[in-house]
Order: sequence, then structure tokens, then C-alpha cells
Amino acid sequence: MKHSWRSLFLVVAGAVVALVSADLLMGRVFDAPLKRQVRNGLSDLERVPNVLVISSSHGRSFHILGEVLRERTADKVDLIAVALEAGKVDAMEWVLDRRIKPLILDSNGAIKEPLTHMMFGITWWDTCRHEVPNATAHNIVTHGWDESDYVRGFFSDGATELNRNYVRNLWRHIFSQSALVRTRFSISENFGRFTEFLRVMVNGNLAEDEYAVTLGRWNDDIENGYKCYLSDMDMTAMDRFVEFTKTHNLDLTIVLFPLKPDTVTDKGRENTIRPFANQMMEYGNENDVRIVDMTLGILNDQEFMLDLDHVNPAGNIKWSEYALENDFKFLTDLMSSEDNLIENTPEVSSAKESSRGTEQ
Amino acid sequence: MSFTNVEFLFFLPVIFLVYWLGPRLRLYQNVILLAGSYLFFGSWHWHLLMLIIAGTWLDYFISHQFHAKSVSGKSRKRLLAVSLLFSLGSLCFFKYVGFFATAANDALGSIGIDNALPVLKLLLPLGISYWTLQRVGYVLDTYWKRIEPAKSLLDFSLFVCFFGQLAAGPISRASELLPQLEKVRRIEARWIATGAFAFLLGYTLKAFVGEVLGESLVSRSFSAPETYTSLSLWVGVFAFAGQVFADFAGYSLMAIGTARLFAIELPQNFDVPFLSRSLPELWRRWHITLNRWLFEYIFTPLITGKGWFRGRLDIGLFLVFLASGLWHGAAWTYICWGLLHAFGMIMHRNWDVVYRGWCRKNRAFVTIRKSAIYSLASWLVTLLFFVLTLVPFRARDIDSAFVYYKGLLSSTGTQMLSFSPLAMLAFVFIIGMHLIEIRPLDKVKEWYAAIPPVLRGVAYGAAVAILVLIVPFSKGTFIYQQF
Repeated sequence: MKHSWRSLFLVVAGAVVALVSADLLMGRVFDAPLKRQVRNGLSDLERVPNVLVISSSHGRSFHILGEVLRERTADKVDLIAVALEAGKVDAMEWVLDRRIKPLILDSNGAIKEPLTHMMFGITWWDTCRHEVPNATAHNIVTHGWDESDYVRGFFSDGATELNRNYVRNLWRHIFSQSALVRTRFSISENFGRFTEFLRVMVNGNLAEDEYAVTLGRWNDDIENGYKCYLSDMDMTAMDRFVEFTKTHNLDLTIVLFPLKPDTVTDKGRENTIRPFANQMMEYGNENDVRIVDMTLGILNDQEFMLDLDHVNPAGNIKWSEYALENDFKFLTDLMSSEDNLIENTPEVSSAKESSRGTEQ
Repeated sequence: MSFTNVEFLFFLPVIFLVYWLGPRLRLYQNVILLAGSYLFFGSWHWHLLMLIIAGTWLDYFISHQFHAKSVSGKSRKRLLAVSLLFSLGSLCFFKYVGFFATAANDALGSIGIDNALPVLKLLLPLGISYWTLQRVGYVLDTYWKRIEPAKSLLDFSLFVCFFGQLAAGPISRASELLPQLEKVRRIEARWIATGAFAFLLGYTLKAFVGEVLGESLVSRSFSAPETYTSLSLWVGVFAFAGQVFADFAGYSLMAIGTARLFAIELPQNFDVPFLSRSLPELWRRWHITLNRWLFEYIFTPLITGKGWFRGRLDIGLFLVFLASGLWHGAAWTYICWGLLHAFGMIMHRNWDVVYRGWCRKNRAFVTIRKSAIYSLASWLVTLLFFVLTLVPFRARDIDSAFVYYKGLLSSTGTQMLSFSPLAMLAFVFIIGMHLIEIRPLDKVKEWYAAIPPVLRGVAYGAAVAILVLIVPFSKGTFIYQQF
């Protein structure tokens, strides 16, 4: 075979055309949503909001809550959510301390205006500790680290499985506009028909079997959650979080985020969910913090995604509306008295429609 | 870091651009490649970088002493001993000290002395088994005056640890690689085209074929062989043959492809080994560079030397394959695998002697040997022997290997391996790679070469798109890196 620069150029051109076409086609056939991560929240924090939410991956639901809140208050009340994939209170507090504080504190260390409220979205899992204490959590590396953290890690430990998470996420971020890359990374969440098809291709398992197995695993995890929840490491981090809001006069709400009802068996409810909520209520009383328990009773099974964990677009709207009319009503009251609540105007309806189709 | 790690996606383009956009000087090119290579090695464990640097300097100095007129024959031998002691000593220390301490403790334990020796768990330096052999080969070649010593320490340092071959070979001869490093490389379309193609093919083999077979068939069948049916265990062991081939041949191709991007040609490491019709042929097609090293630096000097081993071919073969087993790892399973191959090679050699005797007496035996049936039977026996000897190679321990062998004959297990479409595709890929080398099908390559470049590009682009979607999510195992 002859190799000239011309033929090489033509090969590369053909490959680029094929790749771009495949990407466009994938975007049309199956467009996996771009998931919000810490970096999206941090970039939103270029503007200081009234309400700041720090949460696990459920922060994506809080992002929709923010959209609905802005619609209802005609942009008078702004809420920004920072979602940390894989959660854990200790990791979320790390993100607050290392990434968020520099953005919300002025040079004197005071909170920038108009931030007055903070919310902390967790589930029992976020207080559960299986890892070795003091080891850096993988999700901090993946989503919390910046370049300098990585360079420090690389030159102290070399390229390890842990710090590789940062590079992998960087690669994913660089190609985040690619439907191929987004689809690849949503296969593991069993999101949508196309990824189910690919999973069967890869694993040779039927999706229904896998659903039953996954559900069984969730049931077991929750039934045994009491063995690891409210860990010292995470509760100490929660204390630091509470301390920060108190010293800066921020109104704090800790939200126990909804779980998919069929992941919680009666045993799971008795062993883990109820005791966790009771202890968090006690914690709230002791520390004068508002605790909102939304774990069960608001959303039904159909309003969760196939990963059995995250709320789907319709569920996010339902939850946001419910929350703003009930437990989070105080957020809409943040508007000055002359501004009235805007409910169900045509603009709000169309905004809702648009948010349904965007991020999860 | 290895070629399939995500860091390499950033590392390779940066080194490539810095290398080709800078001045076209040998010094500059080698400094860039050496810096990249040390970064590549250091990314594994920085503190062991000194080991490779110290060994490089020592061997460079010693190789020059071999050619100095003032150095006597005795001194040359002493210098050779120092070099071998350092190279092989560090290899043994890192790789085998734990194994031998455990074996000694087991033996002493049987006479009532428990834990007599401390068992060190050492971090294995990246690619130590490969660059040690490459350095030893260079030292012996200069000692025997087959080659001149390297002209500069920079070139020699790069010869020892060029990142393209650092982690898992191919193991180059000094006569192959050093001359390339001692001159300026020029960018040409053929280097980029063939390099990128080899890399893509290697990546497909390693990250797709190897991972799919490993995840969906091999890990399952070898983790609990007693629970699977005999048929599943046969599928499992054939899948392992495919996995280990795809894993290592794929990595070797990626190494060759990477080197070509810098206008450096590395030796071929695999040549459609599953087409072999005898064990010696298989070992000329499988992990070619290791086997030629073993034969050039162990077998040939032994059986052609003046000592007791002279002419004792079977003992030579036994030692070569024992060394090969040990080289693969400090475990009884690898030693068992090596001994099985030693036995196979000795059997084959003796069968060959006997058969050639028959041929001399009766020409009909020549005709039989040339017949299609004889070829087919030879191929089948070779393939089966190779695949079956992989059981101890993959098994956790010797007992597990016996359980697996027993299961192949008759198993009480009822579980069947579920054959995913991708696992099927992975098998087809390996078979296809071999078939296009067979004469009636070798026209496929001509047909492929005649395709317009744009269409070839479209095929590559489509392949990349499919790989992005379906390469399995795993930790990226690499079987041969652990050796």
C-alpha cells in the first residue's frame, strides 16, 4: 500500500466525517442527557444566588427546583445547586471548603450578598462509611479536584487508580458535547432503550433480570444501612458544615431526599429509613437546623429513572412543585413583599416544558 | 500508565507534537523521548526510577570496558558478572524473593519451623522483566563483540526505557533499535499511517476483544469451574486463549504503532500463532521477541558451548521453558506451564527425529507429511496442546487447575456460560485476523489496499465510534504487564 501525505489526509478526512456523522446520528436516535456535576455548579456560582444547595447527585433535582423557583418568583429568588456524584457528607463538605467557599466569601471572609440560605440534600447513604478513614474519596478526585490537585497527586503517588479518576473525568468533560461519549457513559445507568440494548450486547444479560437483581441489591443495602449510617467521619463533616452556616448567619435546611418506594422494604423502613430520619430530626433540634424529611410519600416508583436512584424529569417537576408549595415555601417568601408569587402563567408553563427536556 | 490508560490519551499527543515540532536534531528527539519515557516510568512509581537509571549507567560503562584494549579477558568476565548480577539480581529480588521465601517457609514449616524467613511484598517496577532482558541482551552482544557499544549514554538510556516498549516489550535486539536511535528521524506519511493503523488494531484487540472475552467468559469459568458444564469450561479455556492473545498481541501492536509515530520500528511480536502446525512453529509466532531471546541467550550458548550441555538439545529445551515459566511469574502454576511446554517441545523434537528416520527409509512418509490431513491433524494437536496448557497459566493454583482439567473431561456443574453477541464478535475477530493470512483469503488484503483512502478513513472512523460505545467498562486488565 502506498502512503502519501495526500492519502493520509483523505483517510483522516474520511474518519472525521464518519465520526461526526455517527455522533450526529447518535444524538438524533438517542441523546443521553449531559449530567450536571460539580464543575457546572461552580460555573453557575459566578453569580451569587439567594439559596445555595450542596447535595449528592440528587443535586440535579435541586437544579430543576431552582428553575421552577426562578419561574415562580420571576427571577427574584435564585437557587444554585452543586451536585457531587456519589455523595457522602464528608466529600460534600470538602467541596464546600475547597471549591465553594472561595466563590461565596468576600476578601474579608464574609458571605457575599444576596446569599442567605443554604440547603444540604442527603440520604442515609451519604452518611455511610465503608472506606478507610482519611483516604481520599474517589468522587472528590473525580469531581472536586482541579489541575493543581492532580499535579500534586501525580508527582507524589504517580498515576494511580485513584487519581486516574480526575483524568478520566477531564476526558469526559472535553468531549461532553459528543452524543457518543454521553451515550457511552449512560450505559452504566441503564438509561433508555438504546443503552439497554448495548448492555445486553456487552453482558449477554436480559435487562429485566438485571432490574430484579439491582432492585434486590438496593433492598439489601437499605435493610442493612443501619450498620454504617451516621458514621463519625460524615457526622463530624456535617458538624463543620453546620458550624460554617452558623458563623456566617446562613439559614440551613437539611433535606432528606426522596427514595424510590420499591427500593425500601418494610424491613428497610424499620431498620434504616425511620431510625435515620428520627436521628436526623434529633440532630436538627440539637443544632437548631431545619430538617425536611421527604424520603417517602411524595414520589412514586414511575417518577424515578431506571437506575433506581435518580428522579426522572417528570418526577423532578412534581417534586419541585410539591416542595415549593409545602416544605420549601419559605423560599418563595424570600421575595420582597411587593412581589407576588407568579403561578401558572403561560411563561411558567413553557419554561416547565423546556426544563423537562434538559438535564436530569 | 499504560497505553490503555486514559492518561496516555493526553500523554501521547503532547510528546508527539513536541517531538515533531521541535528542531530536527537527534539530540533533541532523543531528549524528548527519554524525558517522556522517564515520565511514563515514573508515573508508575517515581522512587524506582533510580533503579533503571543506575542499571543503564552501569551497563553503558561496562559495555565500553568490553571494547577497551586495556581490559584483560579476566576483567571482562568479572565485568560481565557484575552487570548480570545487577540486572538479574534486581529482577530476582523484585520478582522472586517473595516466592522463594514462601516456598522455603512451607518446606521449613513441614519440619516444625514456622515463618523462618520474612516474606517481602515488593512493588514490581514497571516492565522490569522486559527491560532487564533487553539490557542483558545488549551486554552479552557487546561482550561477545557481536555489536559495538552504544555511542552515547543518551541513546543507550532511550534504548533501555523507550516508553513505546517499556511496559511489555517487544524486547528489541540492540542491533535493531540502537542504530535507529543513533540517527535523526524524519516524519513520513508511511510512519503515521502504519503507526496509527497498528495502534487502532492493537487497541481493538486489547480493549475490545480481550476485555470482552475476559469479562464475559474467562473470569466466570475460571472463578468457579466446578459450577459449570464441561462445554462451558471448554468455551472458557478457548476464550482464555483468545483473551491472552488479544491482550498481548494487541498491546504489542499498540507498542509498534506508538513507536512508528516517532519513526521507530520495533520488532514484530506475534505472527498469527493459532495457525501453527507444531510447537516450535508456535513459539516462533507467539511472543516472538521473548522466545528468540531465550533461544539466543540461553539455548544456543548452552548447547553450542564447550560445557557439559553441548549437544544436549532436550536439556537445553527443558531449561529454556523452565526459564520461560519462571519469567512469566513466581508461581508454581507458571512453572508447571513452562514444564508442560518443555515436555511438548522435547516430545516434538524426538518425534521429528523418528519421523525423519522413517522418511529416509520410505518416501511415502514424506508424502503423508505433506498431505492436508497431516497438516490439519498437526494444527489441531498443536492448538489443543497450547490451549490446554493455558489452564495452569490462568488458574489460581495447581489444585484449581486440576479441578478445571477434571471438569473438562466430566463436570457435575450445571451452569452454562452466557454467550453475548459481543463475545461472539470477539471470537470472529480473532479467527478473521488469522484467516486473512491463509493463502486463499490473502486477496482480502489486496482488496483492502485498493479501497479509496476516504472510504478506508470512513471505516476507521466507524470503528472508533463503535469502540467508544462498546469497549467494556472495566479496570483495564493487562495480563502481560504483571510479568
